[in-house]
Amino acid sequence: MTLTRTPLAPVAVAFGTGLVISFLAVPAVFMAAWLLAVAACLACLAVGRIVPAAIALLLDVVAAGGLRGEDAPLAPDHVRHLGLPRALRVEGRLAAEPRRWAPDRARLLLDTERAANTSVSGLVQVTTYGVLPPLTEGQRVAAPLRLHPASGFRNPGTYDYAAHLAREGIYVVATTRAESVEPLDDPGPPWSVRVKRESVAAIQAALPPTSAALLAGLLLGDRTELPRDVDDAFRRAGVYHVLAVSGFNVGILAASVWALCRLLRLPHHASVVIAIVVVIGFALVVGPEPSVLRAVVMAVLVLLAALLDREASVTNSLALAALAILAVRPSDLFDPGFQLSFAATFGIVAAPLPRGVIVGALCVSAAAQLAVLPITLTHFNQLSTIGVVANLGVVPLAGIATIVGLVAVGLSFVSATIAAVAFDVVWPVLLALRGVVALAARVPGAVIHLPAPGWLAVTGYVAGLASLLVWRRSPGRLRTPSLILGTALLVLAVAVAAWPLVRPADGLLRLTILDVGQGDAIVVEMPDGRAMLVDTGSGGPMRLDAGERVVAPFLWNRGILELAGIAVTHDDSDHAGGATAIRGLFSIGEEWTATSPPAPHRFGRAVIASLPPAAASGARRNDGALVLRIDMGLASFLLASDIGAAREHELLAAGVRLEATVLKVAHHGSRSSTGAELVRAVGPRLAAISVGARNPYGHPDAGVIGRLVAAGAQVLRTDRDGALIFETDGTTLTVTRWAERRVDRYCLDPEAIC
Amino acid sequence: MSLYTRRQLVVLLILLALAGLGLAVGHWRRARPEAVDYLEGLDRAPGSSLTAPRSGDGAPTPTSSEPEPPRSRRRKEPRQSERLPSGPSDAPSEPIDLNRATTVELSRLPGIGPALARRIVDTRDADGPFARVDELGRVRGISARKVERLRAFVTVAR
Repeated sequence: MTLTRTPLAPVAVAFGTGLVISFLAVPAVFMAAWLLAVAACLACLAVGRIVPAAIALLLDVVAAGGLRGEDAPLAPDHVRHLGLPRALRVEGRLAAEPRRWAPDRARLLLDTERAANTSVSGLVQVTTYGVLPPLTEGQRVAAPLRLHPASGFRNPGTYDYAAHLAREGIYVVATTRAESVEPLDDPGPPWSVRVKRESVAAIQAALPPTSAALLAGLLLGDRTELPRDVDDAFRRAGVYHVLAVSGFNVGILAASVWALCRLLRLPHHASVVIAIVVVIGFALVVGPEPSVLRAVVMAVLVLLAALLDREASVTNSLALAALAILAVRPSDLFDPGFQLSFAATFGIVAAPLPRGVIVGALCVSAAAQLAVLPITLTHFNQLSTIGVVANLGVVPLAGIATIVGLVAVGLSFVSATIAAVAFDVVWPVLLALRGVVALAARVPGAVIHLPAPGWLAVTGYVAGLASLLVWRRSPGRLRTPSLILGTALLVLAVAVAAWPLVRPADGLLRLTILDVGQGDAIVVEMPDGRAMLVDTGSGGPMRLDAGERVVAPFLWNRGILELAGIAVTHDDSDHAGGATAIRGLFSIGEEWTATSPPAPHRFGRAVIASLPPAAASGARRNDGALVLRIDMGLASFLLASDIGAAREHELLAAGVRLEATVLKVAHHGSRSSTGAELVRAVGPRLAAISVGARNPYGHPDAGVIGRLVAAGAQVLRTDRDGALIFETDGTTLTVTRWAERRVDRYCLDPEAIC
Repeated sequence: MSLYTRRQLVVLLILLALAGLGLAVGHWRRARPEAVDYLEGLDRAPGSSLTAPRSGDGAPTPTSSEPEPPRSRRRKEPRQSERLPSGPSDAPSEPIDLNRATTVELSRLPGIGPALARRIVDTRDADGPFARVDELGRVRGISARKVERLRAFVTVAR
């Protein structure tokens, strides 16, 4: 074996494994394992057994990783312990530059020091409304904050925002008015921030807005100004990596600086030292993203090797970069950026490369794509088909733009006039780059959305690729078995990953009320395997688009790539807002609204029907909403959308069947809906309220909950229970409250024993 | 003896070529701004061209982070004040968007003074935009009756 040439690779893998399994046990267990492994290693060494000693050593690293991965308990004076939610005047230091994500919205990361005259610690992410005064990293500020624990939407198979914040060390978030943020001192921005700001300003002064935003992304990884549609095009084309600062930029920078120094006839060693200094300075300017750290650690190692006239092992420096980052910030292991950066680099390093420029470039591109495939599928449900080809055009153009752009930005610190000439050289390159990306993104099927593969499929895939690498690289008797094993593992991985798409219908009706904050989004999976959607959650320019960020990933991960029907009950943005995104991402059979309600439809044993529409044409918007009921055997669901008292009386007067096992309570539990008569007529066993935590409307109303409880219904709420999943075969009903993963079973047939 | 070495010549030639290209592109860009706008708009979605958004139907694109709404608002104000004297009532003749209106615009509405207008904007900023006109009721001091009276004069752009 050749482990002696890359001694750090197994260590890095072992440490990562430790981090992954750290949730399995308490720190004491890892501590004991660590001691045990040290003892075993020493014992093996004492008797001269090298291989067992090495194994014990690696186990030791696993234990150390497990220990490092344990969440340290929060400090006793952490803001989390203040008895949240509450409003307080808080002082602290800005731990990062303010991020403006809309003209009147910004995010501050506050390292708290004092709250209401007691000293506290811990990070708070503050969202400000209004126009923020100029602030900078390191500045001390005070502001009256409304603090609450960090939370996100809790749904199966969708992005866990709270976990993301926790990885950043943020357990508390807050809101405030921008004008009330009061600077306490004015230290002026640190030099790195000043360099970044002036660079961005120089770019914006010299180029049209969209091209300037693209160049800022290419050079500095600053994508804040990049328009949404251009950003999407880069994602769809599978070339988004050029917009993140990575080995690409750092390599170009180091090589350019070194070449320039050599051109000026500086000695070899001096050139290398200057390149190291510039690369580290660049990292400080663009900020500590994992991909930047990886690239800089590797670049510095390669340059150091050049300084010492040694040959650097790329795999080894990759492993050292991983170890260094994970030792300092263990939670980065679960960060998509970290995973993508390391996987792509490792894929390129490990893959066998044929000769020839075009074929070689294609192979590099394909190797990177194969390596990141499980990661993009897991985090983004995306499989890029065009990426392998698109990169052939995009990478050279981005490279030219990066080199000339760096020169232009450098010149802008000397003379704006000379820099303008250089920026004018970049501009046609940027236009060409945007053209290639726009074309690639428009190819039909450029991106395919698929369910996230489970850990079994990912493991099989990685092991399969590794076996194929052995087959390509090693001679002799290992070849045939590794080819067979690799192919078998890949086939297994694909089969496991594709199972959600091809599994036969299970004959159950599954209705999921998603946690989309204040709004409604209900996924109905029919017993015959088809699926439909009732309302799409909120959307629009100022809010998170629930259709794109919650509903779509949930559907993909359930293996639902097309919808038999989508019902938008009325036009309010908290119900219809996500519809645009859903229409763009899924093929949809039928669309139903209040004015074109569905005829009674049968899906296997389940029947869906709409209740009579509102009588008065001038009815208020909520009262005109589409009301649906779904029946299967003894189970029935009444989805009351946002209707109010007037429509409820109409429905009661019309004499239609309202009785239902589960009532989706109208209008997020508003006090103007769900009257006592309606509750009596429906007689629900379970009442589900889809409502946002801390919503400004006071939903749900205590009176509504009281009426439901008095009628014998159990009340479930998405703001407390997360997504609510109802599963029925017609005689029993299973309810899952996703936040606590709590499952309850209800027997619907009073005669039978379930 | 030649004037330059071969390597020096190559380096100077590359620099000269780049400078020439830059100067030519720069001249062309400044001479034909409409062609620049056309090229810049080629890969953009139709609704999100570089020219400022129309103030009427106006939701800005989600992440366009230039301060566009204030600009368009400033442009809209004089137009409305010009129209005001000729209008039949004191209220603006076309419904104003609750989520984009300034306090000045809001205080022209019947029954809304500067204080109430300020409170509407504060509520909007603190709790997020209004999803529908009825949500005006959550502003302290605006009764359900007042909401009904305002309904003809205000909208919520989606």
